[in-house]
Amino acid sequence: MSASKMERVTSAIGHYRARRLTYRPILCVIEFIVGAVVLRVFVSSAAAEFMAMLIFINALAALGLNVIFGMAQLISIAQAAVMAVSAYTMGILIADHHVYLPLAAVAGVAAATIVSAFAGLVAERIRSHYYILVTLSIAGAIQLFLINGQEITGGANGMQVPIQLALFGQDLTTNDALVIVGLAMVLVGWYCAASIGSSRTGRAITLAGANEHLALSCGVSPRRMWLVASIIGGAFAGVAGVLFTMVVQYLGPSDFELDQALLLLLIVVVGGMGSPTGVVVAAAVVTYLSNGFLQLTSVGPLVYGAGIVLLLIVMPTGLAGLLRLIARRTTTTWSRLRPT
Amino acid sequence: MTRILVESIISGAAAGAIYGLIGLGFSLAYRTTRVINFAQGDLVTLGGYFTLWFVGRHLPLALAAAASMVSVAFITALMERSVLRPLYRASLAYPILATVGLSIIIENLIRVFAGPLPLYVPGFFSGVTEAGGIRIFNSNIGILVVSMAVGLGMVAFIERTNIGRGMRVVAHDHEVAALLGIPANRLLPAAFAMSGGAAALAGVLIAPQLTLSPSMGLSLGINGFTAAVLGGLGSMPGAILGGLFIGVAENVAVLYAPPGLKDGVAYAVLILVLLIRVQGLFGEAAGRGRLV
Repeated sequence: MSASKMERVTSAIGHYRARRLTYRPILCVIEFIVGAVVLRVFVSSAAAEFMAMLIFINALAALGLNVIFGMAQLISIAQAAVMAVSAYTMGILIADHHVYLPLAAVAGVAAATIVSAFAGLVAERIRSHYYILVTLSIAGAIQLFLINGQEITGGANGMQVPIQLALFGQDLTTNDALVIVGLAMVLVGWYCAASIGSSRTGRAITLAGANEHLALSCGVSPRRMWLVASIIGGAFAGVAGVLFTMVVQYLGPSDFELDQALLLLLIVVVGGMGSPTGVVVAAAVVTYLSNGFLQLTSVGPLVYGAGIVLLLIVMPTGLAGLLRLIARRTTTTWSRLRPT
Repeated sequence: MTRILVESIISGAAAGAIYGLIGLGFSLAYRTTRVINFAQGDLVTLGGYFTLWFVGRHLPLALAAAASMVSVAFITALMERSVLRPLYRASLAYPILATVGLSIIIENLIRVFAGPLPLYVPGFFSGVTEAGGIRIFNSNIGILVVSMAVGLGMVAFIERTNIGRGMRVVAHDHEVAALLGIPANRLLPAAFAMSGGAAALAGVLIAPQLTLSPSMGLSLGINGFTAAVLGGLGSMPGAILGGLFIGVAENVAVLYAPPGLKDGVAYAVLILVLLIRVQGLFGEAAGRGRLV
């Protein structure tokens, strides 16, 4: 038996990881089938389909933010702006230069990754809690460019993006098809995020976030990990931007403002800081609440703000922490009931 | 051309003095608790609205402004005591996110009680002074004098008084403060109250220039924030100087660049400071900068 395999079996954490890896792809396929059936049966109206796609977009962006904020503990408020970079790059390539959609999408994701990597590069030179300042100025600069770069971005009026995509003769731009495409993208994203989380790099990122000095003493460069986290997070935001362009087919600066960035941060907190599954569930709950009934009344935003504060004070571990607590309670009760 | 330049430098300095007041509040709160207070901009707005409310209760303008400063200071202290204090033990992200929540709450409370429409606020100063062909609004001079006086007064307070010394010790090291018997649990709300008072004064002074609207806090907050970072996050005189620099840079930039890019000056300064000199003008490299 080779040394690496030995390690995997003998160390408790490594064992856990090996077990996870075996069932994750199967789980992904099962989730896709169940999700597709649920969407087909229960989500039929146009409004419900749009809500589902909004949830998918936020889930993808939040999965990326989860690497930056949940794992590396860097507070980023540029995630929405990074999404905008990807969406606009793709939109401009398609609308003005008639580039084939998948190629434009790849270019969008690449552009988003580069912008986010820039934030990581600046942050690499300074202390971690300055990350919020770096992302604030990047987000502000991008927002200003979107509004003032009239000729390129369409300014405050935004731009229309004609989307055409077909696979095996099947039109993928109808709402029915896009919902399934979105579901597949989220599940692939979830799979990647979970794999990254339990990989060697993921552990290093989490360690760099938890304790800089401990990371250094383990031979992990925290600064390098901040950069890696920024790159990974930016790529996820890029994919979210691509899905956004395909779904909405209209890009305006107001969709990528600070509110959206804060919503994503909130999703990660509710999801339990570092748990991909928690983040996807939180994306569904928070997106539904913030776009659904909270928009109905004028006191909605007030409830939203109060909710953030209460959540932080009362339930700091988020949904994942709550679920973990319930799981622990039930297993202990169960073990007490079992005859020994 | 020189005349226009001088005029815009003076009006920029007035705006900058206000950014300096906001940044000073940021710095004070940041140094004592390490929390970046995202609600600072909304406290500025709140100060303006409170003044308007007190004026509506037939108080003279000066008294209304003072009452508004006291109210906002009290609310800020309450914020620290009730919301932020339980969160210090957790990761730093929690209190910062909580201030974001508080900012949303304040903005929407204003929207519910005062309505979303912009409101006109009476100013302290009126008229124009002309000297050597240069026209200066009296309001600009007034803003500059008042905010400089209050800002430097606060710096002196932190420098000279026992309460100020206590805050500096708490800012330097919480454990040492505890060993010396300094009541950090009472000084932290006091520091936040001062920061809220500075924000409210900024609101009182800037409201007549901008007209008051619930969402005006964000851009003011960002400018104040940049002022604080430029001066070295945590240094109070640095924040005042940083504010002056940004205000002047903004108003001069408008002469040479499209007006839409005015807001970009703050972001550009912020990213340049982060790239070139993170410690700002007066901060120390390791981040354990002095409060004064």
